[in-house]
Amino acid sequence: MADYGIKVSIPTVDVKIASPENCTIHSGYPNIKIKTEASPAHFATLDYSFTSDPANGTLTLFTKAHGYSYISMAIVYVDDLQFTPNRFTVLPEYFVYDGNGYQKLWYDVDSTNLYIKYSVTNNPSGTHVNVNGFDFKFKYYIFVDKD
Amino acid sequence: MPVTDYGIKVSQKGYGVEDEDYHQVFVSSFPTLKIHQMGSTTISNSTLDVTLATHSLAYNPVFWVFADREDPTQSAANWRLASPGASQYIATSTQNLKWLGSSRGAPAGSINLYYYIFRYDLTTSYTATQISTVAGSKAAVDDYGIKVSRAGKDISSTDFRDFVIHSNTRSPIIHKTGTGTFGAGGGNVTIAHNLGYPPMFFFYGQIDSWGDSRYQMIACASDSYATADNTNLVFYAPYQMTYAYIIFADPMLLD
Repeated sequence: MADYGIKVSIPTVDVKIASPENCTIHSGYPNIKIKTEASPAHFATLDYSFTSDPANGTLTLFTKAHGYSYISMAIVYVDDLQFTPNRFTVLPEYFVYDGNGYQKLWYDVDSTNLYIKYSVTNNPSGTHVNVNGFDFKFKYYIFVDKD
Repeated sequence: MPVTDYGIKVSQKGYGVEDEDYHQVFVSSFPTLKIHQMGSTTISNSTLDVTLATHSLAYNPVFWVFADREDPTQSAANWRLASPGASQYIATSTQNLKWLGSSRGAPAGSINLYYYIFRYDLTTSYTATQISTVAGSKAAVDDYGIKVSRAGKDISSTDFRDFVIHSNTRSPIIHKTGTGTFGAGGGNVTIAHNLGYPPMFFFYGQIDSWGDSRYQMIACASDSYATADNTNLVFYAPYQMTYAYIIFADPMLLD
């Protein structure tokens, strides 16, 4: 099926001469895609409220099965709560500071799940940021495409 | 001859074409991220400069790279977005995407990477001319749709990777892209997007002190930040640099 295809250009660009950069769809170049009817969802907003201060170690806040037979790629944003609520920044890592040490929000993906995690490491003085009462929002996207 | 009045849009299953842009499979009013190349590479010596992919696009493309460990000194683990804040120095030129272990001084070790290079010049100045953020009828149109398979793939495939587009998937819509500069000592900038929600976005930077023209993705780090709220992106970095941003019509707080 080498000779069939479709392309749809953006406004003001003649589709007959439109480069892939000026197309919404070009069958020579697949769009990056997110599955819309997945359970659990492949894009969603999550909310995590700390009701206590976690001890040293790594706490998994969320586990979302992606359902693919391969390690799919994902991107996660977190509400920049500590400085300006309702302002999001992209992970892989987000650090929670208190002027002495920090904790880390992060995510990763394996062949089964997307994980959003929180790591606590005491600073040299033996303390860490107390996140009891912190309410973090996340947005994640799990992508289809991979060769 | 330019064609200004024609277009096509296809809604996601369960939504109508009158619904918000981010509930469409695609809208021809807006460009999208189309994959030029994707693949994996193993960097066995992270202190060297290694070409991940030669794209030959003659411009600096939008790219994403994922890594299988926090930094090259760690053992292989799960996958996450690669970040210079984690000593993962990856940058694009107009010809290739490179791991810059020697040029940027990465710690010794190894790492596996997966990359996406998109057909979009990250220095493009573009602002969408229309925004639809108002819910429409959400008419129950469950049985119609569109799918276009990739060359050599069967249209009846159940693997979404085999498709250019598919009504059961969605693709982030590009809303605004552009560039700017910071002088000596760096700076901060506020970029209006006016979407009414915090959108998906990425920043890339070309830092003068690097002495080359490559762009690197900038994520949250101890010395810089990039955030989005309902109205603006805010970016700060303590470097003399050229930055590039890409904003998608894709809301953080709405599903």
